[in-house]
Amino acid sequence: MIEISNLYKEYTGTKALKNINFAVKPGEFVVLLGPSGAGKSTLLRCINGLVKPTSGNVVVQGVQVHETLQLENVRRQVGMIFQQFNLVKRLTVLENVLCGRLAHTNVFTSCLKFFSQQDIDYALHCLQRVGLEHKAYQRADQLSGGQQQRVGIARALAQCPAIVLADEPVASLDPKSADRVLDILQSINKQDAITVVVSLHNIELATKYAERIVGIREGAIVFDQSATLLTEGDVEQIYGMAAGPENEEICYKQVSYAHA
Amino acid sequence: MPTPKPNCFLLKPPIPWFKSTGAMLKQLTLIALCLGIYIWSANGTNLSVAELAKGLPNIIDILGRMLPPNISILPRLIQPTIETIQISIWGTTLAIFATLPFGLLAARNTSPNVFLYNSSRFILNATRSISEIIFALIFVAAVGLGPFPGVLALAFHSVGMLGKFLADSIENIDHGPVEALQATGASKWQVITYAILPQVLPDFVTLCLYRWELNFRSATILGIVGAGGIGFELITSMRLFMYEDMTTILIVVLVMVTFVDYVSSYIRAKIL
Repeated sequence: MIEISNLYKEYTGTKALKNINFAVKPGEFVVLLGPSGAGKSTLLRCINGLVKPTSGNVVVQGVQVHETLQLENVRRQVGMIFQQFNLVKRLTVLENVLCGRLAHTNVFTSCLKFFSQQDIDYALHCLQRVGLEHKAYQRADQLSGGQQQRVGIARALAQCPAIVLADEPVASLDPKSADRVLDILQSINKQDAITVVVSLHNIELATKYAERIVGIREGAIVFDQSATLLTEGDVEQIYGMAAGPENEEICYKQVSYAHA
Repeated sequence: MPTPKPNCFLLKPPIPWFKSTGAMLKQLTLIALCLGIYIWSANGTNLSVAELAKGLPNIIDILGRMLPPNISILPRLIQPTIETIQISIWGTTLAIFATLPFGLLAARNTSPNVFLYNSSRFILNATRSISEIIFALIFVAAVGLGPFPGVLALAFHSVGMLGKFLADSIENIDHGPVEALQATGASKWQVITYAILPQVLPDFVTLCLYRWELNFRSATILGIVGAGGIGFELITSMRLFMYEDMTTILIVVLVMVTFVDYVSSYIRAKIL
């Protein structure tokens, strides 16, 4: 499903990813766990080609992501959810969900904003899945953060994806909305057999939802096991609790999370 | 017990310039330089209070001859006034059509390559820096007298401003939705339609209406070089020393400019 080997990514001056090797099997629910700045976002973006790696291989559904001439074909099968939701604020909720159908529609007619009744019905069905069908005709920026993130999930679902990547999907949400969003992700994993890869920095949430945890620290994988096997020592290794400044950042993150 | 640190401070401590000879010299040089530029420009433009005082009786004389306005020419002004509005409408509309491709080419994040980016930026700068009167002179020579060269002149000059603003606002959009749509596998044109245009549209509509107001004002003088509209009447009455007619024309222009401003702000309020 997803196979990553010898993946390196270097931004000018900093090494974001160092020799990443891991594979995700169909139907897995994987949590990438690590402090902010560890490289989780970069890794997720390498999977759907939003970031081009310095070297290494990423194979998704049997296609080499960074060599294919039909990147859009790969991306169509991979939904993505973002920390900042990334909805088009001035469009309606339904239009935002229909954006997920774009890769399945004719470029010319969709640019004139024509969608088939089938696409509209499917988009409404996706909204129903996340419990927001009654908001379909409201502008996206009128919704609360948690609702916007659920629209983001509906947009990803509208793609009929085989894989969903979620980049810190609950980092800007209050605990209740966070649980709701992760519950939905869990249900699409269980009911639709969609493979889900989520990045989180909150240990509690990670152990609650993950089947498998991949711990990342400073661009390298330091833990890759079933979630039940995560020990205090592993957490210390992922977060480097002994180290001063990093530790401080985590505490700050969790405090702001609690107050959000 | 440690003394508490002050919790506010000046970003840049003031330099008492009289305390340092170097700073004082610098300040004095700057003042002298500014004064120099003003005196130099005054010489170049024959700026003189005495001349103004000497000309004052003439100004009063002309103002006297401008009154009362000759209202009897009003029926003759209806057609040129309508033509002026028509010129401004098409001049602005043609400019908007040309602006859309230019805006996309001249924005760093949507331009396909550096060459097209630089050349479209150059074209936009060029058309913006050439005034509509100069364009009108060129187009009158090219397509003949009448309102059509006026339309072309306004369109060419407006593209420069509209294109630059559109390109700048495309460069300033929130990149998040663009990334999200790319991630769904949407094609380039779909990303432009769904993630970029909705973000720039409100500002662009406001700008186009504002450009229309400016274009109407410009259209009132295009007739001076033979490019149609009420400006032709204005220059004719001036050449024939019919100052009372001129006053009427100026009043019509004033009323129409106010009217166009009002209509434009009404549309803006309605659609935003």
